[in-house]
Amino acid sequence: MKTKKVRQVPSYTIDASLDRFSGENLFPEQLKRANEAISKYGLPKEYYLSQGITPPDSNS
Amino acid sequence: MPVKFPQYAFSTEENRDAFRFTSVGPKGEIKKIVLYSRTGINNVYNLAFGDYNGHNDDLDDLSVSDNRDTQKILATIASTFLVFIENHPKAWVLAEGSTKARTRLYRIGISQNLTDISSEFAIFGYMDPGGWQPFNKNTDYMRFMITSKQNLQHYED
Repeated sequence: MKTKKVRQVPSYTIDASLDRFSGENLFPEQLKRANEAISKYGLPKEYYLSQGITPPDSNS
Repeated sequence: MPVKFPQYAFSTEENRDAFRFTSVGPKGEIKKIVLYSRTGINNVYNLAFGDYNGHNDDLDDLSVSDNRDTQKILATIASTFLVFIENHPKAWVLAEGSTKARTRLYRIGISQNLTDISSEFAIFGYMDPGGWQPFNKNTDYMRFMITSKQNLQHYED
């Protein structure tokens, strides 16, 4: 019988005042750098495979 | 995979992609924000972290607050990751410090917990030259990517 692994998730509180941060680009420079890095360096080939995409040739 | 180091209590919102906690130390109380932001790529999120100024509603990811609680902050960020990924199971999280020192801290944090992390998650590091590779403790990576192992194409539980 296979037992399902249950991940222990830390406890936390919900604070509705954080709703305005959700989905917002609050660190625009960081996100810009991240997107530039993805464009330039790509992502792990495992990511592309997981999405059903052929990895770019430049990926190792 | 529980986070075994002391950490701060934190709060989040309905979508579990924005988190806040308060760092306490010699410099006083400093509010911190952790955000998992969508990139332009499907299921890829960027981890961003910085100080929150409640007076002018400003965020700063470059300040060095030096509250002597680096380990506790890293553990707290790791816990926010667990909450985020629980609610976004298909996510691939990209992490790169806003400074080289922060990137190094992320690497140290991952290395210290690698056995625990890698039981559930696949971790990759990027180096130049070399590109993306499975995370190795002794390598000075520029950025990291973490996803649940269940998102790997050939993963079997």
